[in-house]
Amino acid sequence: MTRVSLNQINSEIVKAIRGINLEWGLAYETAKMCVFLSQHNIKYSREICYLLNKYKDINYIPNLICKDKESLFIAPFFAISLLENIISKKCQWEGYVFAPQFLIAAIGMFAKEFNIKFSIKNKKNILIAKSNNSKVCVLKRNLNSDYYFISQEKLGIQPNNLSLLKKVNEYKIDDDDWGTILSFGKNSFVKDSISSKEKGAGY
Amino acid sequence: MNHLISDLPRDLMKLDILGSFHSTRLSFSRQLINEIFKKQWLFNILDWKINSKGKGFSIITVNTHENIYSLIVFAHSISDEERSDRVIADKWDLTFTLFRGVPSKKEFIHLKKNVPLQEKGQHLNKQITLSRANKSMRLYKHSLNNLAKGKQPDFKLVRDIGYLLRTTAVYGNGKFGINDFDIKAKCKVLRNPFWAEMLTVYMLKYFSIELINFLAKAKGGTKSIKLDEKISQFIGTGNATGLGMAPYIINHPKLIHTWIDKKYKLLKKISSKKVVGQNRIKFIIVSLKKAYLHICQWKVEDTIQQRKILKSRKELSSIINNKKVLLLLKNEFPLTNLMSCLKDFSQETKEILYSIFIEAFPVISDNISNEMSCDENELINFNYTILKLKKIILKNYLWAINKKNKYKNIDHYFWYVSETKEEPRLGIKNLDNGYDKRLPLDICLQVNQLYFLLNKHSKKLKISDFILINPEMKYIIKRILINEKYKYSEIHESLTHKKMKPIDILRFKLSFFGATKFDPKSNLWTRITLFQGAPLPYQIIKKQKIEWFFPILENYDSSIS
Repeated sequence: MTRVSLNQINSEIVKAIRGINLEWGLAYETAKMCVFLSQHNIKYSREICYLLNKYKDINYIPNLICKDKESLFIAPFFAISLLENIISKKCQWEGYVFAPQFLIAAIGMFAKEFNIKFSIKNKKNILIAKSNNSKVCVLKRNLNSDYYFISQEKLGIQPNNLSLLKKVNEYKIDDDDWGTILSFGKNSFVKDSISSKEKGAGY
Repeated sequence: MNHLISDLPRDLMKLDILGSFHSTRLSFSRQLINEIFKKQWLFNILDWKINSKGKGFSIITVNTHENIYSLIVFAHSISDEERSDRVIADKWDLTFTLFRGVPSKKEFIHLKKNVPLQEKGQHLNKQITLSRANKSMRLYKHSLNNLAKGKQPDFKLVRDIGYLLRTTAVYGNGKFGINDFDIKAKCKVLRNPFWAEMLTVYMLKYFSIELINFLAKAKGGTKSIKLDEKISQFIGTGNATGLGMAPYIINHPKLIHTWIDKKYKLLKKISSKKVVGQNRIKFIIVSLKKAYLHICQWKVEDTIQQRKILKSRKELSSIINNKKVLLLLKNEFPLTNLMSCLKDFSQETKEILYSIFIEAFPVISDNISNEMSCDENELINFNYTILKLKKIILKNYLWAINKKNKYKNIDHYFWYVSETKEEPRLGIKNLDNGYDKRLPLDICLQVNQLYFLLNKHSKKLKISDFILINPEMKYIIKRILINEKYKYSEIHESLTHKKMKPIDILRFKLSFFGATKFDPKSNLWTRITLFQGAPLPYQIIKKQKIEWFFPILENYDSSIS
């Protein structure tokens, strides 16, 4: 495992996502969610690397209508946009989700910023995560890609058997995954040339 | 606010205004020294293993009475040809790190191996900053030779250069795996913006004086003398700064808003005072003279900046020698009256006056100086319709979509990151490679593209739906909505325009660090000095109150030891 700082996670994820040409706004949001997950010791790097490899040659087309397994909702790229949409339309959303831990990150960020309460339920209608008063409680930390329901809640939900997500002080990431993220980040840089050297400070 | 000091973003957030900012009492280096003085931080040279050739290491600690930090400096031997201020350099005279606590033997061995590698090293999370510096060859060699022979360095050389060591990058906030900046941290060094970096630079000033004295003694033996106390105090730490600051300004809109908002709220409060006490008036007059002397010692090769300096000298001289000014200051609303007299003066001079005003009210200023950080996370409520968003653009971004803008020039340049050490660079569109990998600093262009696209959709469409169809617009929409809440978050000019000068963006940020003697070397980079005139640790412990804004070096004869 490689020890990394939150700043490194944020900046290297932005670069890697830009390395596959995803839009800046989405790259920043993915990175912020990765920071949240790192702070709470929830794994995410395997899924990020999977997406980097999958979308390196094709553009991702956002899809919020994900009723079938063939068109999974890509939470690492779009979880924030999805919640914005739910808030704006005051609706419930359901569908197949890839990397659902990013939904947890997104509801956590909205809870902190706006104190907006969300709940996430699995396909058996069991509450698996909820946000309330700037905090997030989860049933378990590692979720599989599956069918989920997300809705905004007006009232606080009883915690049942959920446990509070707590922050950690040290952030580690799988060595190979970190290597992949760094290598995709390099795609966001411009190759050096003699003339380009004169375009920087020092000249 | 009185109309003479406009706080309207459309007036203020212009590059020529921001590029005229001077350091003030709110600047981070000034705040840091105030704190060091108030809390009587204790500095100590814990270890000094530097040989007579200047190679080795040193550990200097600072005890803040809450925490201990160590500056661990590694001194190397490099040839003159290897010395470069650019980020792409890989050898330096000195490499160093600010460390939480005192490193254990194991930690020290790790630091010794990795700190000299800088960006390529593996760094510990107890490291708060990571930095490197080069010697100012002219002043360093000259001072060493003179001190070894029992002479002080030449007055003109000290005055014109003003530092022995020049940092070329000071990394903080989690870069390369070091400690993350934390707005909720208990200690101010980790909580207040750029305090850790400033502490590093201040301790390097201290180290540079100790180093030159040590090496002069090693070279000259009993003949040698120490650098005079006043010269030592005057000597600052140099810094070479390049394009990296521009992306920072764009990527931290809330923080930039906070800095400018605090400065102008303070000016508003101060300038609206009906009566200003005699002592303060006296202080302002003395400070005007001090500022004049300071800029008389500020000489640069850059013709544009030198012209501004000369103009400012004339203007300050005319204020000082104008008897009406003294009368004005005795009347009601003295600062408003003074500004009304000077409304046609250059921005360079006005900014000097603002710095003096802020300095004259230390209690109010110091209270505000604790509010210079902010939580930069910002989610946006996308519940607006397109109609509402268009209204916001027309209200706050008219500067971007105004047809008077010369469209062909608004994206003349593009900003990108080079693969070599991730150095930020400025390319010319249609000429240089990398446009497709440009950084999103072309705000003006993006706003225009968004506005054009919004016109194609129903006015009632929610932004959250618009973004799902046009995800490439999310970045700029978010900026626009942040700007609705934080009015100083956006520079009201195209940063890719043909006439844009990055040097203005650099100066704006550096002024908040407390930089003086801006010395532009091209439109792309500048040299500056930090902590020039700042009291040294042994002066602070004597509780000598030293005013060091607009530092001046008093003339002396270098042959007198």
